[in-house]
Amino acid sequence: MVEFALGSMLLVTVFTGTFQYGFIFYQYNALCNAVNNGAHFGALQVYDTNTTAPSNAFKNAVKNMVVYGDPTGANTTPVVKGLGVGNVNITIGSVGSGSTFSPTSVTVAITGYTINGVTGTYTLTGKPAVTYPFQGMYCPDSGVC
Amino acid sequence: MTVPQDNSRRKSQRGMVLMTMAVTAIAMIGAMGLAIDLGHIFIVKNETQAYVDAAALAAALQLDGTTAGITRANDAATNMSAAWNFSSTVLTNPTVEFSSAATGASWFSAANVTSPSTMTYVRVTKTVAPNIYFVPVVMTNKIYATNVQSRAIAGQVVLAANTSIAQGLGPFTGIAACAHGSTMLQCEATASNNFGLTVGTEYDLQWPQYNKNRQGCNNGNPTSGNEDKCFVQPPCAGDLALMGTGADPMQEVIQQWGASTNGYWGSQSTSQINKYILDQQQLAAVAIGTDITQDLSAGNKQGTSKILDDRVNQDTVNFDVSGIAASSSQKLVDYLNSANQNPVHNGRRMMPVPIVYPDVNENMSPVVGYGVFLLETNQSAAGGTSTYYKDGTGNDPYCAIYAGPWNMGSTNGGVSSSGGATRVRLVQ
Repeated sequence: MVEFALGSMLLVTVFTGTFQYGFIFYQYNALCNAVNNGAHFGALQVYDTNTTAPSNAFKNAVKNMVVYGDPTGANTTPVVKGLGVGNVNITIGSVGSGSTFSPTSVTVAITGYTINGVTGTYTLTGKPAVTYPFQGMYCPDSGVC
Repeated sequence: MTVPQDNSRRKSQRGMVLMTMAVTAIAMIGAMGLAIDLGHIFIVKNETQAYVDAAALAAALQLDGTTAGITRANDAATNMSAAWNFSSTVLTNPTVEFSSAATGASWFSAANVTSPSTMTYVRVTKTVAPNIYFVPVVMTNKIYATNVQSRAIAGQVVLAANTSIAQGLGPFTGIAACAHGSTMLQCEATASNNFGLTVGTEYDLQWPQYNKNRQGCNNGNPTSGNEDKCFVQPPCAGDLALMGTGADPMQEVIQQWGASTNGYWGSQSTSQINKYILDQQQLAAVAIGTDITQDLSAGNKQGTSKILDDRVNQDTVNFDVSGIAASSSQKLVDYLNSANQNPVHNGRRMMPVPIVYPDVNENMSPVVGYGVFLLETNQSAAGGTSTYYKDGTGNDPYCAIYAGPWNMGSTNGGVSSSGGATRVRLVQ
């Protein structure tokens, strides 16, 4: 009995730990893929404002791409449980400002998402993050293209 | 209800569980290693793969067939920022190599590229060594870190000739310098040779006013070397230089376009011209082989010239770095070099337009490819006047500096390729 008690305590700890790290790693990996998809998608879109704040259409499409793997948002199952569009942070790299503004890169990061492990929670701030060079079209004036 | 006679045997078995556990612990740690160390390695692989993907794309966007382009591409890949190991360690110094094909051709580092004009693919490789914690326990030759290599190949992939381009082209045209009397197909084939145009030379985006009654024009049939006499103002330097040669764009323009059109395909309305010049819209979608004749119009010189200047002024580098008097090739080189300087150009002065070949035999003006032109400016860093509005109200041509074939999404010209626009894609 004593051995079983000692042994099982150890076993349970080890299994819990393994599960916890395995699960966190799995979640993190899924988030890596999600931000990668979102950033690559965003870098190919039309950018239609002349500031580093993208238009709502751009933001929503990229965020939906990250969270649901679908820019339209028609699919409503997040790629990782509990992930919402509010956890997606989009940063636009640029040169110039005002009339000479032009986007150069799109960075997508996860912020404020909490992974629930068995014995603890881990809140991700600004990671994972992926940057892609902007390849899409820039049409600042009327957003008509 | 005890079984006392077994006491001695049980005593001898005490510790069996612990001993078994000690042995199985090694196996368990091995299994844990698979879960944790491998999980870690997969994440590291994912992070570095995203990094090399982005770096390869950034580099391929810079390639334009020149050594300077190779240098810019190398810098673009090297300057790409990303981190690995749960975004904790910055990734730097990837291996950047160039090739003429995604597979089957040799790869050269930036310093070893001998023929930059053929380099259309970039391969970026990064190896990192994440620590492993559990697997070494069951290893006989123990290692505590393992190399994880990520590699991406991106290149300027030629779009199919029938790809319809509905956005992004400016409402002007470049004229291919094809041997007089060529067919459209023969002219298309010159795409790999920049349509006979020279990078860094000024050509007409919009031609000067045509008048066949001028002296020397001979009623629209000028003798060779006198083609410029048919225009009220002389065409741009690059087209003038081709005058009288076997491949003379001026001759095609005189015979096919005459006085009714000048290479502009847009609208008369200022608001529409705004969309065509500033906002990537097009009057019509075009593809290789599209006859653009019905879209050509005399246009609205005042409207277009004003908005062309607006577009120039939307660039952070809206001036000639070496001064207004610099040669056109120097102006282009300066502009592209400003990728690494302050201010950094933002690409607004680069305008992609269809390259057409006014085919006299077929009586049409088919699109044979796409080229990018650097819009001119009359400003130095200290300031100055705009170019197009000053001249555009009269009969002057609109000139621009040819920068190479159109590589979509790039702020410079692309590498000359066989027909069609190119798009930077990951191929591996």
